[in-house]
Amino acid sequence: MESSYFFALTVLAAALGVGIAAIGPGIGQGIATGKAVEGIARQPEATGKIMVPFILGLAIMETLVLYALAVSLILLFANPFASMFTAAVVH
Amino acid sequence: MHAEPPFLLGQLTKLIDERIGQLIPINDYIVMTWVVMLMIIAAAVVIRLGLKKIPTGLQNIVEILTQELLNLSEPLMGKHARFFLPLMGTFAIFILISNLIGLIPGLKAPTANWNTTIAMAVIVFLSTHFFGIKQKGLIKYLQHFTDPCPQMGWWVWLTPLPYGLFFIHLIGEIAKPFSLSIRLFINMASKHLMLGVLALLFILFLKKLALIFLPTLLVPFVMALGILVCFVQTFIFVLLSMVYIGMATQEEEH
Repeated sequence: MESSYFFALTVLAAALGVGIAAIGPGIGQGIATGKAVEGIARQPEATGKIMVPFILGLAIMETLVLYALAVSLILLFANPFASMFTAAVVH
Repeated sequence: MHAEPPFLLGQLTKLIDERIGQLIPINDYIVMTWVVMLMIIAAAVVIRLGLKKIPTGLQNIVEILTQELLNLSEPLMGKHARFFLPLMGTFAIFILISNLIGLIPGLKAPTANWNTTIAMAVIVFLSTHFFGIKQKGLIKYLQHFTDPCPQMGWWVWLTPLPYGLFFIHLIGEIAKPFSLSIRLFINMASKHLMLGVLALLFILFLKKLALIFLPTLLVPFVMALGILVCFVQTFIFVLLSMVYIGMATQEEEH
């Protein structure tokens, strides 16, 4: 009974973690893209110069979500505490 | 349930692992790394043997790649750009081919494993600090960690401020290879996981044919996004390595 609660909460934590982590970078990437497009529209010849820091910034923001995704994947597929709960069932 | 797609070279992995598994455990990703290495070495030998004054075919691609890398690294690394070109070029070619080979069904991307990416990130980390110390000297390099302090005058060394800043910068430096490697690894691994889950859904929905359009429609989009992600992540890994090494080795400008 305890183990089913444990795994249900693990899945919930994994899903909610990625969902919540995506909010902040989503807003940040929206602002960054908006500003980049504004800059390109104002000065189309500066596209090449804007593109490199823009993509770099997007990638660094995206990394924040990926950290949460890494934690979620560890919780789902390589949970370090799962052995405490599955050992009782198997043996 | 693991959404693991089937692996074409699984027999080969098993065969090699039986031979030398006691010394070094061999898994699928190591075999895929060897495949990528063989491809790169073969291409390099073919291009080297057929080197021409007026380039044709593959030589064109490699020359464009070299030129673009040099153009990219010159504003970031200054006069060291040409010295670091072999390292950066190796990273670029290896990561790009490793990422793209994972899109072929039945093969795995070597970069979808943390061991591969952390190895490359550690090389970047070590070369950053080695060439930084070689360029500036140990004392000046360590002073660089207490960043705004060296410009503030001698009295600042009597306060605890630079010593606290030193530890903050130290943690930042240690976090760099982790973020560099996890970014690449999770991008690749999540794409493969996504494709695996879609394939699993396709098999599940064979019983409920009304829903089968969902995974069928999504796979091409994920694949197209995957190709974009492959190029962008290669670009970002190389660019960030250049930024890190460039920051450590650049000369003071005053």
